[in-house]
Amino acid sequence: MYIQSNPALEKDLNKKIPLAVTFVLICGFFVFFRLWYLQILKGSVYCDLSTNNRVRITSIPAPRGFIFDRTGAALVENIPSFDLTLTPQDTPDETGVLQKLSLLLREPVDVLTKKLDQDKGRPPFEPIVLKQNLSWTQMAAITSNRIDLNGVNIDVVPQRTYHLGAGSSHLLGYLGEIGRHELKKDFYSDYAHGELIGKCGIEKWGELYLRGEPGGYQTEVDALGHKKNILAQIDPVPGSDLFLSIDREAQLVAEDLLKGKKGAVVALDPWLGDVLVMASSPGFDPNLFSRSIDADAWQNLLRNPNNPLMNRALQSQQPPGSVFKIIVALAALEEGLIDPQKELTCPGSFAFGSHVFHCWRKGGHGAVNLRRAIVESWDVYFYQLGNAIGIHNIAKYAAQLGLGTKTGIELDEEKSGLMPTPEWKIKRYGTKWQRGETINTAIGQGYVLATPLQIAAAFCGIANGSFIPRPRLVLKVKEGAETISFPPAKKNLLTVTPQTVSFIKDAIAGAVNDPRGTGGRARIDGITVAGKTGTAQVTSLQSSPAPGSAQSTTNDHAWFVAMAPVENPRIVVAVFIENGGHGGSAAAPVAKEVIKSFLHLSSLSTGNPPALPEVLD
Amino acid sequence: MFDRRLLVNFDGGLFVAVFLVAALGLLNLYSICSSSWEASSIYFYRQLYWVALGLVVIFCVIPVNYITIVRYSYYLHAITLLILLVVIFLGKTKLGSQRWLSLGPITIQPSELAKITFILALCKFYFENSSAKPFRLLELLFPFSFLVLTFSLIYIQPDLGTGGIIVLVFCSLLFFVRVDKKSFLACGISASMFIPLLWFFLKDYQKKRVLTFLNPELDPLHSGYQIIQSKIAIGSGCFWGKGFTLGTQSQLRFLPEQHTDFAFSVWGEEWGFVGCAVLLLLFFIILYRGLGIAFNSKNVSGALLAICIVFILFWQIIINLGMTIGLFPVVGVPLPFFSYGGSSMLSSLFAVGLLLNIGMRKFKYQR
Repeated sequence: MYIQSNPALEKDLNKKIPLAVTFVLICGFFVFFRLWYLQILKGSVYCDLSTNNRVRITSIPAPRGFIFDRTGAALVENIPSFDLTLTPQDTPDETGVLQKLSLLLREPVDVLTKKLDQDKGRPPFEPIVLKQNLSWTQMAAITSNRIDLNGVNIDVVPQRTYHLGAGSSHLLGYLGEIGRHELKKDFYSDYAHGELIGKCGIEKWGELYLRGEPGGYQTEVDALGHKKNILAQIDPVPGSDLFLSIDREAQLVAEDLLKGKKGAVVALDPWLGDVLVMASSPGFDPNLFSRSIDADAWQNLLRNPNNPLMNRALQSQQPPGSVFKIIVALAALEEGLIDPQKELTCPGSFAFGSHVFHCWRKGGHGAVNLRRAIVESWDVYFYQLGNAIGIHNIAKYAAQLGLGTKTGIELDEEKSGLMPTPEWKIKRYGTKWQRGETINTAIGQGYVLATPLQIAAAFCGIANGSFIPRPRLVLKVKEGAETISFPPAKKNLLTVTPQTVSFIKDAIAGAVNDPRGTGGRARIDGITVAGKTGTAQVTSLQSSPAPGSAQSTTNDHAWFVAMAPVENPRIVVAVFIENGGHGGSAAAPVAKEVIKSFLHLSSLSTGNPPALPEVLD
Repeated sequence: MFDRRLLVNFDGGLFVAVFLVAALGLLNLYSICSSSWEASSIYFYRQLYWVALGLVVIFCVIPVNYITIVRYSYYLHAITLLILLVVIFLGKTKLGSQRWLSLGPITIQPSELAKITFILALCKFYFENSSAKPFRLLELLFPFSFLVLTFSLIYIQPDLGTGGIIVLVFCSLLFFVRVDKKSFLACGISASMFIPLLWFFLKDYQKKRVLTFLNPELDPLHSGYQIIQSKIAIGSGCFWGKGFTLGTQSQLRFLPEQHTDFAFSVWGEEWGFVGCAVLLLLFFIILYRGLGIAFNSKNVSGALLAICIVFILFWQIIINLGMTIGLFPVVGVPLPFFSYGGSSMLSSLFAVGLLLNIGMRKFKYQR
């Protein structure tokens, strides 16, 4: 039966089998061409996809560069900090481990749980930071209980540490996580999310140098994200170190004297423009920012009515008060509009139109010449002088001395102040300049505004007699073996004759050293300090008194600008104390201590402060 | 008992091609096992053992005239169906399916066995019942009920892949046995009407596979993942491949099921277009030789059986390859001789043994 034949079927099969071969062949070609498409035509696309699949790039941040002062003393460093991390994947019993950790760290469990929950949703093999800055005892507790703590690790992280106090916080700046708007900028194009950048001050200015080049390694990961092996590693290039012009000792003195006050101290080298001191108060603790700052602390800083985030040295724009008289005197002398020996009488007030301008001393000073008017800060003399020379002459020399424009210091948060002119007033308010406003300007009131840095820079011009230096904060950058130096620069050249300069120097030296001078509190034995006091009246525009502020907000602002030694000035100091009262009493002693510290004169003047006349400038 | 003259007609080409594919499969498996993941080299040695066992099976099958085997095929198939039933109640669960039967140290997949006994029984039916006249629709009722019974038991396992293969083979065979044209048309129409209904018989994960095949990006991390990763693996092989044991998709486990259903993807990644072409050629040789045996067989039962075997291999190959290169949805069908798996290897080699057997006894009146 099985060998019987079926010719019909046989014939049929012989026809159909070749068809079957064709069918198989066609299907084979389909597969073949599909493979051709995938492997030859689209091969490179799939190659990239497979590479993306398996290669992860982990960045290694470069250690940020250090910041030193002019003598090489460290102002900002990186100090290792110890972080507690937990890798969810390696922790089978999460709640148990968290409970143990909370006992060891003496921290409530829910704080740790909250931290863990915040980072949920990230790959389980990525460690989550539970606590930053472990103390030594906490570290010891963790390491000795390591066996019970699966997946728990201690990471060493370099932490930015600032060796100066709050008064220098604006100068040095702080670090913060890069923001969304910053990531869009070209400068930050190669930055990664979450990277720390300098947010203000030197940290921001020096970002380019301080950051270094982050390294990274390429790891091959498997389908679950486990790291299998390192394909390539690029070591980070540490950031370059910055050397500032700051004198650490003097800076600390200034910081100390500003404590509890609102104000700023700026000291410059009058020839090079080196910023020897730049302190501003109140400040903040930059170490708070070294890691992520918590929202409450940040809000406190933002809401604080004393504005601790403001660098008063270059952002506080205030009427310079009597300090401005120097500029008026300079303008008058240069334009030959006054005989310095000519005496003008001070009856105690000066009537101009319907307005009466008073001198700070009731009853007046009697008749005085220019020198005495400066020494004793004689308002009525300057009312008359200002009225005589006119606003244009005042503005011309004020502009030459750098008022109304930025000094050009590295920090771009600087404000430009204001030197008013009739043209400015028309543009700004659409009204004509009144001559009474010239009189007001002549004693540094009214529209005229300047920052402490501008005042210091202007006095550098008087100290060196020929130019306004551009303030220089960064002397050099050390990139490995290479050093980039930043040469000093001149901002404005002065057209002032040496006679005028020496006359003014002599006058302001008198203001400190003459028995009747207003700046007597800045007197230092052994060297001649020259300086000018200023008291800026607080106008009704001032905000209502802030609760808890150390100084009453209705007090006048105190100014003092000094140079020493006057024969060959090495330092110019501008001190500004908000609501400090009188310049001679509130600001001059600060300048004195800063000068002493910088010139290392502390041992020379331990005696009693010189007897002072009744000064009320 | 064994006629030496039979050896004259032993199809050496087919035999060599089959074992070349098996050897390449072992090479591929060695590469998969080389990743230091787990002690997976056990797969390689097991497969080696299965191939050797398969060789033994071939040489056991060859001496026995295939006609004898066909003669007893109803009994053989009945036994297989019984085993399938046993599996349904006692089977070992693996990968969510119950298709494994544990026999001491080895587990076997009875659906693989059912595939072979089913075509044997089918051949017996067509051979015994074919006459000068073509089959009519009613006459096909018996084999059809046969198919439904076998398919149901396999489907319950669940092993949609093997179930689908036997349906495809059944349909393929309809082209070769002479069927009345009207009946054939009726069959075709009713079948095409039945296809949409099939959707309701699919399990959720099977529906998902079909949907993600149509659009893999629908669920790139789960159902679509396999297709995407497989295409990436094969595509990234480019012309020459990434090299032996250097396939990143497979070594780093982006590829799922890489030693079984997606073994070809590993091959494609590591050996590139060239390797794939070689493998395709070998498969074509096997199928071509198989059809040649069918063509040359002067015995209708031998021809039909050879055609069945060729189509069983063909459908598995084309579905598996089609799945790895994204032409078909993911169906659990192994690549014959190449994928890891004892049952599949043994049943495929058993089928090859039958093919060789038919080829050796191609003359009508031979013993």
